[in-house]
Amino acid sequence: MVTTNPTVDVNVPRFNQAAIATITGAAYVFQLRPLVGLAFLILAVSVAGGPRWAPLSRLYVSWVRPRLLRPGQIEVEDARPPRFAQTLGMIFLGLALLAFVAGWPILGWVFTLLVTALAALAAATRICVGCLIYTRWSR
Amino acid sequence: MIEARLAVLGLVVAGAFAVAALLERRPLGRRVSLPAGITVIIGPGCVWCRRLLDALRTRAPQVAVNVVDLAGEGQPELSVRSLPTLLVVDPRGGVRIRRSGRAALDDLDRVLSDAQIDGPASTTA
Repeated sequence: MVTTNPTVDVNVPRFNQAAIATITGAAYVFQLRPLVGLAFLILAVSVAGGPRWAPLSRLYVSWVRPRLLRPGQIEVEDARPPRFAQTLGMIFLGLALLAFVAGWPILGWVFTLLVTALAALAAATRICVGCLIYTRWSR
Repeated sequence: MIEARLAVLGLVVAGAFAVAALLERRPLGRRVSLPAGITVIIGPGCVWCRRLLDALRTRAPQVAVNVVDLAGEGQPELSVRSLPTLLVVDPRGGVRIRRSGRAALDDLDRVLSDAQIDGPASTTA
């Protein structure tokens, strides 16, 4: 039996990571907790619905990519590691929201900043810690 | 206060970059000795491995590439974070250049150049 792994444009995860890093970073700098909720919602929809429903992926595919790349220039990669990384990001942002609700803002911002730092790292260097965990785990 | 939070944000992000840089530079496992030249470490679930090997065959066909497949039996315990990993090993067994993941493909020309390995364009008959 031949199985085909799901694939994704290599730039989609990077666009997502850059956007999540920007949103959560702005949330911390301006102390806007609703932005943490927004980032959590974006990741939750992406994880639950896949790339077809992911808001940032749709934004990239419909608006950014046509302005940057021609069809022949699109490269794809295995979609499972970045999706796992998104799941981890969603969990950490969920924990951050729980911490805010429980009255532990410092813990909430620690979780938020963790997501910011790892998303920024992945967007800038392609070192995606969540993807690495997935790859090691599935070996 | 915004300045202080910007500073904290900058420190946290810089810390993540610093840790990643340290991990990227860490040596291979102690017991591993690799032949001099180019080694490519591949394994299961690796998206860029086949493309990297194809690119090496195309751009440096005269170079013998040592391929280590982590899926194979009895392979050494290599301290590798992501696949593929492209290594240029000097005659003393030291790793001169190391690129992992997509960067191995993106930086291939620079790696071949730094390793003083001529591609087909500069090969003389």
